[in-house]
Amino acid sequence: MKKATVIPLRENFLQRLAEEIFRDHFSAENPLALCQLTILIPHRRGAVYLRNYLFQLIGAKEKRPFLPPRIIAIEDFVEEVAVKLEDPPRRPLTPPDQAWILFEVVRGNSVYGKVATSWDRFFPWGIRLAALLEEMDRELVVSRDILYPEDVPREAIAFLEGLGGIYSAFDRHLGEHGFTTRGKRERLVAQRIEEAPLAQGPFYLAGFYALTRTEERIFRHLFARGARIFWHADPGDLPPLYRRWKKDWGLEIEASGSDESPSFQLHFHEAYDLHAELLQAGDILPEKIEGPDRCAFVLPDPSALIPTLYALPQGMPVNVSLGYPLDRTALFSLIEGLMRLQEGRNDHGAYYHQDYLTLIRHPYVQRLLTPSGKAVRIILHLLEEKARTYGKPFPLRGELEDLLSLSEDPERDRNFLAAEGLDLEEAKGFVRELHRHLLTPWEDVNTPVGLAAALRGVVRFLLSPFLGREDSLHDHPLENEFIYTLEDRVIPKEAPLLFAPGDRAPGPDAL
Amino acid sequence: MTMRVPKLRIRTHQISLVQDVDRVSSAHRGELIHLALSFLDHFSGVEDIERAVLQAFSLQGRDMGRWNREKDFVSPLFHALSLREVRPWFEKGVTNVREVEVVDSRGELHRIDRVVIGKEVVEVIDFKVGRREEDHLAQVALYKGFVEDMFRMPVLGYLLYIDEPSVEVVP
Repeated sequence: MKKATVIPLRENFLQRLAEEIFRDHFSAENPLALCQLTILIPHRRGAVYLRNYLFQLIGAKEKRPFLPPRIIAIEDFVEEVAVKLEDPPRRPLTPPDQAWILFEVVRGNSVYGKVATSWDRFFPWGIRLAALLEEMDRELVVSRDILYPEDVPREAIAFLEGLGGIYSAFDRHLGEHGFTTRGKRERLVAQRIEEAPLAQGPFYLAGFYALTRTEERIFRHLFARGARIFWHADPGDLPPLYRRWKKDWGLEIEASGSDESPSFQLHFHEAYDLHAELLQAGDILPEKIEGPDRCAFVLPDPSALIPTLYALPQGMPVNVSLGYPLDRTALFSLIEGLMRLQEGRNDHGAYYHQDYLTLIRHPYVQRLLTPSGKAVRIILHLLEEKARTYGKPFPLRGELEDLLSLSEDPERDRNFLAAEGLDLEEAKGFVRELHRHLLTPWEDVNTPVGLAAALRGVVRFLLSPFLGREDSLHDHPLENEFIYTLEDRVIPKEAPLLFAPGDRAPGPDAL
Repeated sequence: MTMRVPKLRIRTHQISLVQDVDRVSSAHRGELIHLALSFLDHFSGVEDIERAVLQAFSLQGRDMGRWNREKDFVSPLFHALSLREVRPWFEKGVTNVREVEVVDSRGELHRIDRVVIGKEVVEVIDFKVGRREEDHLAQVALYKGFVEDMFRMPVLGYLLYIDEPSVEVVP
């Protein structure tokens, strides 16, 4: 019988799913029974909860270890299968690299090449175009020109009218150079799923709703091989896409769990701002939270995250699943400040004084130490004072380094610095060191590789006093993570880009 | 309010780890080797290893230009898997599970590199890249305990040091 199992909305979907898996597949005598199962889910996070519910059913009761099923997000499943189908395996490209290939494809064309007169002008269009081609692959669309497109910007008209040719040339280029994209992998797996080396055990397709055409084709194949489908919905009133799925696949519906209509009790609490909301939340929160699935704080936007963390009861374990935007961090404001400083330089390479003062006031710079371990705040304070008294609107780097020597009252400056155990030479040395790490490397950045190196240099310089003793940064609990993300995730993405090396810098003549 | 900050239990990464270039590079190589081994159901020639290494690079989306594929990956793996003690684990038809997850009795997740399931004995194998470290033996001993609990069969534990290459039996 072709059926889909619907877990009613009032039930905990993953908990109920775990019960189904346990009932149908767990065997105390056969430890391999569960791990032969593959559970496909829409996103990675669900795996943690599903595994935990299985643990509650198996491990916690029997007090012994077990091999859980393979729980894998569809995105990872597709990648894994595609790698096995590709011969030889290809290198997946990031969106900027896809845009670069598209730049190479379109710039020679007299019609749409006008938008591709330079890499920097083309880049935003390239990113959009790459996303469009990805969408076409995901939806198994046959590429063709879109003639006379309406309601699109003038620059996009040329691309859309030549879309068929662009897609073919892009596809050919990727193939010739051993590249691929996520969308292409989805298309590949969907088109060759019959020959794909899949796990032999049963498949569960759990929690999917709106399918792309590639997903639909993959799932149809798995379903024909006996995969079970689980939806989370009201069995008596399926949402539109489930109704369509049911009709198209000729499915029968089987409810699992209580069939009663959901009867949630909603309470609204009125508060006039975030602080008042958090105050009330503190009163409403249960004293003891039984598990991570029993209490969730859903925030309207990431700006509320840090105040919320500060307002939580002491000692409460927190699993932050919200992506926090880099542009809200102090780290970002520093990088932005460094970039603005470079952008604001005049024709002689001199810095705009206001941008410079913003940099030396940044908290990350203020907390630095001199090589002998002394706090630098007083040096930066004196430097700002000198810049205001003796500086000019656009000082050169060397002029900034000489500022500390200018004085009408050298004795007063000496005493000022001596209060922190510093002398003028050490103070001047620190300013030179500051410039060597924060100004000089940025002056010649004109490629992604250069940018990656400059960013890495900044992070290392600013963190050097704290290396190995990051716990001392506990006043800023998330700062470590922001820096780690920049260093481990963002910077490595810059360096290996196809257009990253200097000899392939922006511009059509660069190749 | 600020008094509460140190008491918030937020676990973050150690930045020192990512700032040590050699350590990061070594960790990436280790990840790629483990991934390549997870693709190998069996091994009958160097071409199997070459393909597995390519698959690992492809799946991780890593730039191959930064490595010497032959010297850093294929050759060490070939020599390690060619060891007399290792060959039976990678023979065609041998029942095995790779990168298998184990949930222990406290709900903690562990991942065993390779479990070879025979009729009379189960073998637990952990692959190690780089130097020997003190806690390696204890790690495999822990895995052995899990497998014994689950399979109720005699279990043997091994460490395969890829770069040496050599096999250490875990008592």
